[in-house]
Amino acid sequence: MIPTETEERGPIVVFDEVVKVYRTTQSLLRKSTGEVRALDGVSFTIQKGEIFALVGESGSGKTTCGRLLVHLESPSSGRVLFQGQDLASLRGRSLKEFRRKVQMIFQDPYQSLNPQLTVFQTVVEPLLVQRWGSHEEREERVVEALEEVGLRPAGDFMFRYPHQLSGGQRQRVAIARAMILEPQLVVADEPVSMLDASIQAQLLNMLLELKERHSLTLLFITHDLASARYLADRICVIYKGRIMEQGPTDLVIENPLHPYTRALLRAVPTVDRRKEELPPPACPVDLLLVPKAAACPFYSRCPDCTSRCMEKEAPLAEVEKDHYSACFLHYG
Amino acid sequence: MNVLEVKDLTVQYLTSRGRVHAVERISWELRQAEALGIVGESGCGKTTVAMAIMGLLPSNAEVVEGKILLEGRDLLLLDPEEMRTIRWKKIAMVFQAAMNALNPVHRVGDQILEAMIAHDGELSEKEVQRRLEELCAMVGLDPRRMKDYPHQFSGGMRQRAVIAMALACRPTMLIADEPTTALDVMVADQILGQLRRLQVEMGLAILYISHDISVIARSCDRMGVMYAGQLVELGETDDILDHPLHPYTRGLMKSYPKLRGPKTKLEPIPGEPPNLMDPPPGCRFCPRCPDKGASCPTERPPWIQAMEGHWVLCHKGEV
Amino acid sequence: MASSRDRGKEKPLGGGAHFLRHLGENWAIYRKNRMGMGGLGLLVLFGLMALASFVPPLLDPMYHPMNGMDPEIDTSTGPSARHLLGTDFMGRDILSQLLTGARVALLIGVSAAFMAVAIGTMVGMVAGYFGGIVDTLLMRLADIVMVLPGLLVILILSSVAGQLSIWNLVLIIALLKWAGVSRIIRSQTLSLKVRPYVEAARVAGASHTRIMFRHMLPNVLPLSFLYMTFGVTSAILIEASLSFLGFGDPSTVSWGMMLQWVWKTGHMFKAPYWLLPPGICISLITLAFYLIGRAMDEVLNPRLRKEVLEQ
Repeated sequence: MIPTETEERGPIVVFDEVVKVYRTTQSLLRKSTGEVRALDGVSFTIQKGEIFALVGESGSGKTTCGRLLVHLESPSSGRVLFQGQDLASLRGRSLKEFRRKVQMIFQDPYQSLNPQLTVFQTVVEPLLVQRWGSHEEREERVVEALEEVGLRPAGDFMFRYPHQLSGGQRQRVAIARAMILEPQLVVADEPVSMLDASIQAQLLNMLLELKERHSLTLLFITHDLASARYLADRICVIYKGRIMEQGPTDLVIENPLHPYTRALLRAVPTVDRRKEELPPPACPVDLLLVPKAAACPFYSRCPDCTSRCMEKEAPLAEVEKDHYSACFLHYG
Repeated sequence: MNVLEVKDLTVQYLTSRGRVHAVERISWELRQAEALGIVGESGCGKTTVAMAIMGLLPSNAEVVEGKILLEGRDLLLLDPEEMRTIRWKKIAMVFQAAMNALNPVHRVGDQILEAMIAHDGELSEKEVQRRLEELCAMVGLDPRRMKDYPHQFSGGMRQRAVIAMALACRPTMLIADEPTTALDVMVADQILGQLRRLQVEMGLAILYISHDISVIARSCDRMGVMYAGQLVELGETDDILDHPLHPYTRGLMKSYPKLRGPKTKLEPIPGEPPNLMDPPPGCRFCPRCPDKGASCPTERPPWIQAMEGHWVLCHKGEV
Repeated sequence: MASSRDRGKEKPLGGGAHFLRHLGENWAIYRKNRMGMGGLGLLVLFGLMALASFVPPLLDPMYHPMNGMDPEIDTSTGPSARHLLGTDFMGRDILSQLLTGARVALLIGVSAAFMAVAIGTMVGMVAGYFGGIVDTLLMRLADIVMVLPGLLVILILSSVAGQLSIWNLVLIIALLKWAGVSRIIRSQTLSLKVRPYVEAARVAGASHTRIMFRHMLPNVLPLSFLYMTFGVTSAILIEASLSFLGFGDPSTVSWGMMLQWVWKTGHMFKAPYWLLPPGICISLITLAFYLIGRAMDEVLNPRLRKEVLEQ
């Protein structure tokens, strides 16, 4: 699909001070007694045509970002913009349009396909929902989509059920389903983390190919820095609902600024890492002092933290060109 | 001195649809105070090997051939009673996702104690308490938290608790099956570090099983690569990673994106592993091998010592 | 390769249409399940009995279960050549009563259970899917219904309304029994709502109706079926109990009625040929539906099938 002249270059997605709070207990009579701030003031932009990696551990809020972007949920405050439009304002026709342009690939290949439906029925569904084409056209399109993700000949796979496929094959089906409407943006939430290494590699390459061929913009959510490095143009590191560091991939990997990024890089096991490295000591500041809510979320594990870090988190600031970090270390 | 020796182990599963040739003629040894890692993708048979060692194979499994020698005794010849005395006291295991298998209605400390008492009922009250504190120190847990329930522990702490349970009876050897799969990167790193410390400081022999080569690279002195039920390469970790001989090992290494160094395009191994109900007659990797030879499809490859201490299952094994 | 051309237009139909389309496949799977075949066998037996119930009165009016008068017998007698299972206290043929009872049991059981489960499934799905105030209201209603003492309600209704006809009974049973099903279906729906494939459907833009009928209903149906089998047995038992207690429909002959007559006329220990057949039939038909329910679970849930060995 060739972009029309009216679509500009530039940010296709904007997260503007997004906060997402989940209440842990709720009742009609009592007010909520607990809350979890999955996202605590997250702001970033994704440029059209780039692969943007959101890297974090479990509980960091990265999956929540993905869900907000596909409008499965709404932010508690702040805005999420797609092509300049606030997702909160989407209704009816504009919502349907949006759904055609933004799709998602889920993490668990064993749960993301309806076990009662055949591969064909799963992949054709978006077309049906969007009332696309005639029956013959839809069938052709499904065959195309399946073959593009490597399930060839499509006829062998179309009428199988998910439990008859391997994990890698199921994930390919999930990708075919996401791609069949030729979306402009795909959110891939840990698409390969539950698969074996060689299948992971196959799918990572496939994502790259798909991105090239369809001029996709991709939000790649992962905990694995190595695959983020492989795929992404820019990396954003998120921890406990706040962005720690953000910048072009090479810069973030070669010259990590934030202590959290550095700790993460040290901890990732890679094939080239053989020597024993002791984990860095925890924060020297007295841990019994209760941190303020606005404190840096990483302070208790940070080897470089100071008492200032307990008071307030440093705002995200540009330390070198395009490379942002939220840490007082980089302030004078 | 070998703590454990596996010789020509062959295990098959009998199913209503046929025989699954899960493990075929595997031979390796685990030396004292050494960490040996078995790496392989899902379905390669590595968990079956672990189960065979522990005597926990399901009823439809048949050990067609082979020996598993623990300090000279063949475990496969023991009856269930005898196996029970060995299990947990000589060999203990940390299962996959074991941290999720903690009983949510019992306190953590009680569960560790239970592991101790179940296998070694003759300890006094005081000894048991002392041992518990010792175990906590070994795995890096705060003994004051022993009264908590599993849901009050983080994932990493639960994994440590499970390791403590495994160490409760002072085994000679520990099998760690995917010890870090469900954990965050930093926590996983700490757990692996802890295990390494146990190995070095306590002389514990550890058998690591993982689908992730980087975990093996980080923790193991020696490693073995399994594919489709066969052991295709065995040797010192550094040796294998620097000079992989088997085409599968080479292919596997090229499947991991690197964090440092030049960004090369990943070259994944094309295709999928064979159906073990009907494995290829010759080399099982042959259909996917970029380096096929004439005899590969039909003849089983020989197990050759290509370099000092470095074995490979390949027709082209002569370096 | 079978062309998908003949699958027709894809409509947001749920498990029902899907199930019918694959009847051939599903039957092959069902056939392999021994419990299911056993249950089905029993059910066929009862079905035949029900059909056969029309035969005896045609042979000879004295075989009519209600009104048959044997000119020679007017008391309870044991099995004989004329009356294969003997006669009841009025000289009526027990075998034809038994056959009619099968017909009544199947009718009542299946109708009542079907209605109860249909209502319960719809309510449960809607409550679970929409949540919020809809959920609260529907579930409070279900709670009230569940708490009502069923048998007591029926007894009160029947003493107020006079004798209840069979169809009244069926309706009342359905209206009392839907609540339990709805709770189960609701919790199943809640867990399904967050499954990634349901979310994938939302992301593709599917409407609520489509999601409920295409994605949730097929995954909820196995549970519904299971509860239907329990429902059948429970409906049959309720009817039997009511008839036994004398609150049933006196114009129909059911196994429960037969048991009532045995008891009321003091023949319980004197006429085993009269007491045992209806009792055994009630037990067996209960068993039949249970076995069928178990087998249906395997058919409807592809994952339970013992097919491909996952390595």
